[in-house]
Amino acid sequence: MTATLHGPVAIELDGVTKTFEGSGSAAVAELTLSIPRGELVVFVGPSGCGKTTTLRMINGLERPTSGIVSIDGQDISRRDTTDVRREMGYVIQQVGLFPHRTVRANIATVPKLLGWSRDRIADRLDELVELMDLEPSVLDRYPAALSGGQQQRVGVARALAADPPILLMDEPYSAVDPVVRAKLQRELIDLHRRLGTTIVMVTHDIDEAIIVADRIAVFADGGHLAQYATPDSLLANPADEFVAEFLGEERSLRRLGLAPLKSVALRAVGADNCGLPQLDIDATARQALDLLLSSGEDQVVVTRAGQVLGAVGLAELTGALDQPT
Amino acid sequence: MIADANSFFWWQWVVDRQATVRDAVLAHIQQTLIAVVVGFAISIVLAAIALRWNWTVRPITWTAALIYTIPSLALFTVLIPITGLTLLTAEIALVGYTLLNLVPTIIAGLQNVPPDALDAADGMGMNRRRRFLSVELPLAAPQIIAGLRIATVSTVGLVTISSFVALGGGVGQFITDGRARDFSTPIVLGVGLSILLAVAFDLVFVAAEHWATPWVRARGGGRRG
Repeated sequence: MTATLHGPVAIELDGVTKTFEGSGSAAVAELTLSIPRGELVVFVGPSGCGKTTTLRMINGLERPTSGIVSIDGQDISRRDTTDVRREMGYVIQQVGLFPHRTVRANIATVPKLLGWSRDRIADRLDELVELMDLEPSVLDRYPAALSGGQQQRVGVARALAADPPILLMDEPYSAVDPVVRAKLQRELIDLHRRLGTTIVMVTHDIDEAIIVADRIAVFADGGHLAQYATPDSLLANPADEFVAEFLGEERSLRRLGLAPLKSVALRAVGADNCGLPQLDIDATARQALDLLLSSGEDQVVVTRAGQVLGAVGLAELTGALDQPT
Repeated sequence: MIADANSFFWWQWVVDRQATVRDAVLAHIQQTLIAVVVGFAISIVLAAIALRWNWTVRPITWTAALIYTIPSLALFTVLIPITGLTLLTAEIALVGYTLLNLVPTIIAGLQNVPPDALDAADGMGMNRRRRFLSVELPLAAPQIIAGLRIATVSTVGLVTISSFVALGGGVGQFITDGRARDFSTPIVLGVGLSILLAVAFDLVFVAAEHWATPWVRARGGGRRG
């Protein structure tokens, strides 16, 4: 049951409730959510809101009290849990590398469980070293000898070892410092783009969610889904007071930060633009606004490789906010 | 060293009995190993029971401690009418004494396995048996080996005592012999060999731990594979 890679994968939660023994209230209540194939979905919310429990129900580490979790249209409670888990990468908070095994042996865990040949494992290790930008020399070290950022990369490499169609990540960057964290977030976005893996990530950091997510599920206390939307439409139209407060201040500015200049309608500029500030098309609308404010001009010239494409002013930037995606 | 029967240690006496000495040392090692191996097997089962049914932890460790409080000479003497002057009598007592050192260290070692390693093992699809053998046991190894080390060294001493009541033929027989005849050479020989055996076993375990847990040293150096 391991060869169903990259088929029509989607995760479906249907009326899922989880009540822990000895607890009066539900950790997750009547949750219905579907995760489209190939998307990077982030569960975000205050601690104790049931986001981690929900993630753990997807790979069967927790069993729903009621409701159905299905992967690829199949109810996972009808399948062997170890098989289900081997088809999903899993990265946890404290990385959870096995301290008694070398990096090489850690990464090879699932391929070995699946009975891959020695040669196939060795080839895959080479690929992963390159994919995760690891130095080959770390393979023979033990996890304790690695930095936090390296451990995190190894954790992801281990989760991706058997090329799973789904990757689950539970607060993967909580143990690394902000600089490394930002770098790992960029790497994750890049990785997702290249592999097309369906990724479900849990975080309590809304900024992290906005940076990496295709779609964000905001959880409220008691395991209720407060809103499920793209980062831009979340910032544009928070469903209620709770979501608005959780998102925080400066929502319009942050929306501009998500909007690439490519998506902004440009105005035409005449040939006499040499006094105006210039910005490359790969920048964001927020960077354009910043340049507009700091230069004191009323428009910024947008270029690609030095070629003038047009210009943006306040009107164009406001226009970019009018169209939630 | 003066070479006669009145000196503190008469070397020639030992040389004349080389074969006897060798047999005594081998018998001592054998009795020690039997006790530790059997005791370890029983302890693993008891620890597994304790971890599976949590309420059994207290009664199991309590019983192991209670056995340990019985003076060894008394226990040997009590067992002789039941099982006779046999190796079995000695081993029953010796095995019983290993439990106090082994059961709690095995339980603690397994309980101290980092929970995130277990979570990762489950999350990646290891079944219980696989998880126990390839994650829990190796990670508990330093503590388990430490327990084995103490149990073995104290068993070496107890085997010496067992020969006082004419059980088995360890190096303690020389001490018994020397005391009966008021002759110091065999006493010194018995005590010396007993200490040497304890030290030798201890060193074997130091080496075993070094070999079995290279990852423990990774934090400092980080270059060994």
